[in-house]
Amino acid sequence: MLQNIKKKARAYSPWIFHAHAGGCNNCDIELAACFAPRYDLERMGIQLRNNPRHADILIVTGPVTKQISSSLRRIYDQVPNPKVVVACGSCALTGGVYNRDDGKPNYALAGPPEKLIPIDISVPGCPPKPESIIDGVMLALEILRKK
Amino acid sequence: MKTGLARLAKELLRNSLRPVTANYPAIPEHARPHEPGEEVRGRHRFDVEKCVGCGACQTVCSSGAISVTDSGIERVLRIDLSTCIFCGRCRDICPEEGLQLTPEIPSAQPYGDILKTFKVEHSVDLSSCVGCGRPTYPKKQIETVRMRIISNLDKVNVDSARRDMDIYLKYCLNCRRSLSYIFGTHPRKLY
Amino acid sequence: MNLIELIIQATLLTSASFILGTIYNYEIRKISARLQSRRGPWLLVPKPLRKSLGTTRILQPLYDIIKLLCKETIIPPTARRRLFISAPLFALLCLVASSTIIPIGEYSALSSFDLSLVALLYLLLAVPFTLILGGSVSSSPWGIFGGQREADLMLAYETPIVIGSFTTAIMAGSMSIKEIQVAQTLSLPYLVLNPFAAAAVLLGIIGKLHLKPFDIPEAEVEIVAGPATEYSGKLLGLMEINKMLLTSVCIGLFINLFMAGGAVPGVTLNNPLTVLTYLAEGLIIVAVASLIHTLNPRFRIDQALDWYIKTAALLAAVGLCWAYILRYIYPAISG
Repeated sequence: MLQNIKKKARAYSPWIFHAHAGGCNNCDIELAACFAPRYDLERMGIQLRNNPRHADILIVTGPVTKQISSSLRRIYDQVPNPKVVVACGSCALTGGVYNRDDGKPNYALAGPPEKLIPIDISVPGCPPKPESIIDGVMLALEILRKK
Repeated sequence: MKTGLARLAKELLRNSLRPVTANYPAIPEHARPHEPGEEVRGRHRFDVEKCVGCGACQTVCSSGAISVTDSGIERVLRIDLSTCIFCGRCRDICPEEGLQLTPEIPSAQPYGDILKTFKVEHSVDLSSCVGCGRPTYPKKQIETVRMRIISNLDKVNVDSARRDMDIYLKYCLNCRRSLSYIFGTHPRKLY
Repeated sequence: MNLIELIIQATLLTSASFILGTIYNYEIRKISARLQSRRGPWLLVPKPLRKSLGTTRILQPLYDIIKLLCKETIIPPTARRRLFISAPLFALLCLVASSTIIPIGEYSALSSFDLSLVALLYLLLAVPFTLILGGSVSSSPWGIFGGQREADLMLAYETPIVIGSFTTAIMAGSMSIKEIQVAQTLSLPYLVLNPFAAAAVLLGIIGKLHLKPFDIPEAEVEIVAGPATEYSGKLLGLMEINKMLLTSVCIGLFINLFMAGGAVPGVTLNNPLTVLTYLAEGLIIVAVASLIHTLNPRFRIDQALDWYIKTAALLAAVGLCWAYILRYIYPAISG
């Protein structure tokens, strides 16, 4: 019964931290649009915080540039358990438009985020529509309920 | 409403009583109450009749999301939607209008299934060279090229072109080069 | 009343204060959202989502607190551990004690002893100190900045609250909150008799609850989270509980000192319906406060100090003089 209350509370109030790891910022604008009046994530009790220590869900956007790769690892460690990581956009999944045609690695990237931190949910699109981001967050709530 | 305060009160009242929020996760259609425009670029769809498997889409893909793999006598065109940036260059360059971008937006998935669901595939048959047996070009591409050349050439050249194409289109490029004098299909024969 | 009844009433009052604080914070979020033409946390969840997201989210701040209490707590290794942990605990103790001094309607556990107003103001003064302390030992520059800003702001908002509260004590002739509440039922509510003091205390409360023109210590974009930057998990849950209790205690203070604690014509103080009128009056005051919260940007700290001294402290001083004048003009009404 107490376990039920715990799981319910975890699913009813997830707080999001948005880690911007390089890229063109379009995914960040779409994520900000999710908290705008048209698609309002505050209805589900979700708050966008700016402190990873307060967050449950970590949303990573952008291909990870070399300058931010150490910070991304530190941010991931600062999020308290239980946590869910969502990779948002093509760049966060496979490097997106920053891949070279001949398959060699890009000089500025440290690889997609999956090389640094374990990812739970992927949201495709370039940029992903706010509906896809909301679907991703609802899937994250299911995972949080199970953890 | 002359005073600013009265206008503010009116706007606040309108905002409180008519929020613009779309009832999204509850009613999916409510997010898009109007028809999505035809220019919305979403998941790709290969037209099974029209796509000839030429691979022009792969040459212009901005992010390298399209891969063309030949294995045996089958050519598989695969578009990786997790790398695609939905720019539409592949659709613009396709000479047969065989690749369309539908308004369906791919939605979120758990990370493990990433390659199984975020891709679009299409396969065409390759024809084999009669001389050496290696796979050459897709059958449909050869047929389409043949029809297009015959329908666009002027009357003086169309007969000889048709006779030559009947011979050399069955061979791969290497066999064609080495056997063209024998076949009599070398272009210099006309001089 | 004997000791057992006292303990039971005190426990009930604290839990009721906590739930009331939850509802007030929900109302702040809901009204802010509605004025921005979006829906806030759902009052009634749409039908297709009820299975996975619950039926109503009116206790949303409570879900936040339970989630935080079940999370892992990360304490930075360079912080001073004992002070870091005991700062929110001390604030919790002060707030639990002060929530037993605020009467709700006719139920008043400890508010009827002499000088309860002084005890309440003293306990409420300790809460910003714990924020400053918690921020300063966090070993993070954001915590230190937040603590500094909280110290500056505290000088600003405590003045109108204290002067305004003592004005009501002067008008009622006693320093006990219960006596002040009862004295208003014999004459008019002090909101009507002395609106200057009421305005001063309300403006002070808006600063104390860190609502929008004055949410300087918790400024999001400037310093990451102020004193709460390095707190996570169970300690952050404690800070949120403190926030709920502080909201309820401050609003309760205003209602009891200025609006006769829920007694309206027709509902005297001995009637259990005063709980409902108390709730209704609390919701109205929170609505006014959240209107101000939504429509204003954040002040700079020097602008906030300036504004408080020029407007709110001046209003409190005028209210004090007006209370003395009232004694001579209407000796029958005011004690």
